[in-house]
Amino acid sequence: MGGFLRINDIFQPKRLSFWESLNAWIFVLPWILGFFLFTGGPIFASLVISFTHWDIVNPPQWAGLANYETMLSDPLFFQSLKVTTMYALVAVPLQIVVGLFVAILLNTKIRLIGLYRTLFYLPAVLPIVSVAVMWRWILSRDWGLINWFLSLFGVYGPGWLSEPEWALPALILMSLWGVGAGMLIYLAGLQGIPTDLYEAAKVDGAGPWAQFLYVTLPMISPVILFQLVVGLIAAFQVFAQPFIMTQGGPQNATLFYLLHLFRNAFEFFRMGYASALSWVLFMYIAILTMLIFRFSAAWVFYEGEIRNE
Amino acid sequence: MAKLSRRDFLKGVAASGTVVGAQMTGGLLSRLPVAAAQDMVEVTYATPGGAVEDAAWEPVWEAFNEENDTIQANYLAVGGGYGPQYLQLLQAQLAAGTGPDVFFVMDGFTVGFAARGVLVPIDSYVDANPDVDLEDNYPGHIAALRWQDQLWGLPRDGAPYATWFNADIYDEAGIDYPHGLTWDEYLEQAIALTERDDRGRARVIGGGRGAWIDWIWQAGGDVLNAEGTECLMGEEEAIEGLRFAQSLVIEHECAPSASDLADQNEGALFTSGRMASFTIARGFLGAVCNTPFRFDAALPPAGAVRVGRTNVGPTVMSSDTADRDAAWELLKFINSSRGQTLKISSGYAYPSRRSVVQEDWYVNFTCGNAIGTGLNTVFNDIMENGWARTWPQHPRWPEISTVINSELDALYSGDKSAEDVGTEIAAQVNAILAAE
Repeated sequence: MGGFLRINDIFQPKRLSFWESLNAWIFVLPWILGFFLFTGGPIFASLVISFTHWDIVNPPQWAGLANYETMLSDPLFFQSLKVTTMYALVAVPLQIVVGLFVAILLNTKIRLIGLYRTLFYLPAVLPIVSVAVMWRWILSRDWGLINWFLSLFGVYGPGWLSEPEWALPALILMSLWGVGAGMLIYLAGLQGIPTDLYEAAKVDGAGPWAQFLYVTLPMISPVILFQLVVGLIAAFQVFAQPFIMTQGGPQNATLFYLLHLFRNAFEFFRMGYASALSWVLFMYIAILTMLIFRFSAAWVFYEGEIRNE
Repeated sequence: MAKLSRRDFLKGVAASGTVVGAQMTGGLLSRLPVAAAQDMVEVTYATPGGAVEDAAWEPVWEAFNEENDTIQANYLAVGGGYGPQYLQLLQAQLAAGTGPDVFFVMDGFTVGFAARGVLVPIDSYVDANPDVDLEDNYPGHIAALRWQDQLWGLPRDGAPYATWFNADIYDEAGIDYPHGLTWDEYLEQAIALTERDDRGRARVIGGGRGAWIDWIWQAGGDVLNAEGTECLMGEEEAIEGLRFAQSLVIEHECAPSASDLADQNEGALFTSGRMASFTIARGFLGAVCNTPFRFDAALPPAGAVRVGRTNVGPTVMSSDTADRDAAWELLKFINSSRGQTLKISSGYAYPSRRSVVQEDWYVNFTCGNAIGTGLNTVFNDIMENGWARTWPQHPRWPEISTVINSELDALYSGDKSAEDVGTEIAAQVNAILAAE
């Protein structure tokens, strides 16, 4: 079993001079200040608050682990965790596959390719509120575009947002609207693959599918890993779509974790419990991310990497 | 050349932060003497606001500031609309110590604020000011602002619910306009007016779902007992109300289904001419006045008990206000006949004061294609006859309401029976009450 040799193991970075260090620190200073003031502070505060009962306007009362214990008897905690995990398990792989597929389609030299790329990317920059309102109409049972399309084949589509069994699939379907952002990153990855690798594969008799499987996929596997991790984190932070479109309903079928957290914080004013929820979510995402990284060595190939056999 | 260490760098950051903090604090403090120098007390009133509402409030501030030499009223449109977002923004301001002196709280949330010590009870101010004339306010509105034998605010307006109907749809179907119907009569009309195609798509929906709480009250039930210690939704009366509400949607399909409401809410269904009638407050005039069809307001249907919902516009005083006397003066003015007339005569709310309803501008109001005077008389009839109740008051109402709404989804989709929904709501709400 061999380990990995990285670039830094071979080329040691030179030590910086005082002025070089100072310049570097000055450049990162705004970010560091912003991080401590607006991110680091609230993160630490939320950890402390999670051990208290706090209704925002009155002083917090120490509660120990009570908020974490409450979760175990909160059916909506488990429901929201289930909904969000199901969403992540289906939506993230789907976004990766569709994003990659679109990127491959757009990685060709045809006329107006710039226009096509722009059109596919455009949805990713539209405001989520307008998009959600538009999708409510697209998903309408009686007048929506999807059910109209299905009706051409004699299929009466469901009430996508009004039936518990279809509401989550509807939001997963809607998540594909934003694959343009991922597509752009895949496109950059695809264009970074040296053409001589394809030429060598062709010489070895590889067809298009074999080229994709043995050249394209390994070469963009770091991009897929990046998309997987970022997509997973984003999936666990879904809020605006259910907040605008379903309010967690029907029958809590789209009660995403952040919506449950939001309600506890800003509708029930249980800041301590909401903070505890946020830390459990953080741990959950951290564990999943670590697992992904742990098993990534088996399928992710880095260009600068030298594997000791 | 020495390397800049991480510790030195962080020291520098801390020093910079201190300087920035001092500047910010100094900036804040420098504002305070200005007000003192002018010898003028400033009091701020907060409400969600919006273009129409901002304009309606303008005459109120002008009049108040003209009549008060030492108090300056400021208007703060917090934003967020009349929903949870307004409360969130308001709470953030209160927590930061920058909250308004006097503010609007959404109905059902007053007790929650009072229980957390955010509000000042105003009994002593009312006792010391006979000109407040509580009797001129509808008793139901004042009762909604009492909790634990104390008065926590005064209404700026009220909002009893009446039935709005599209007269064109009724005429086309040859059906008499609705007015104080029984449940059976209402059901019969709604079925006759409803037109759906073979796929269940509605061209016309006979009537709205009605406020769920109205059906329960009208069947003789309630959500909580008088002490607020037990949920009564599992009782037979409440279940009967739920059963009727469900039958309108599932059995008879004469009220909007979940799919109908996923596209348009009841107000939009009505104003687009797709629903024959529905119940809501007078504030709906803002939307209905611009419709192309003829309309009016009428007495809502009733079951065993004639009762329906009324909202209140609670105006409360923050316990953090720097000058309670000045804040009280503003609160009192907003509740006064003059304040309500100035605000409402240019808008569509309903006054909480009986005397205002007798004024000519109210009695003679008309707009758009209104066909009668129901919109000027029915709301007063409802309030004067005691046919309106306010939302149940409980500090944990937001949580209770969330439980109920989730179970109502199952009721209106037909996934659960009225019995199961009532029992489940009672179990979950009682668990919330037990955790108090």
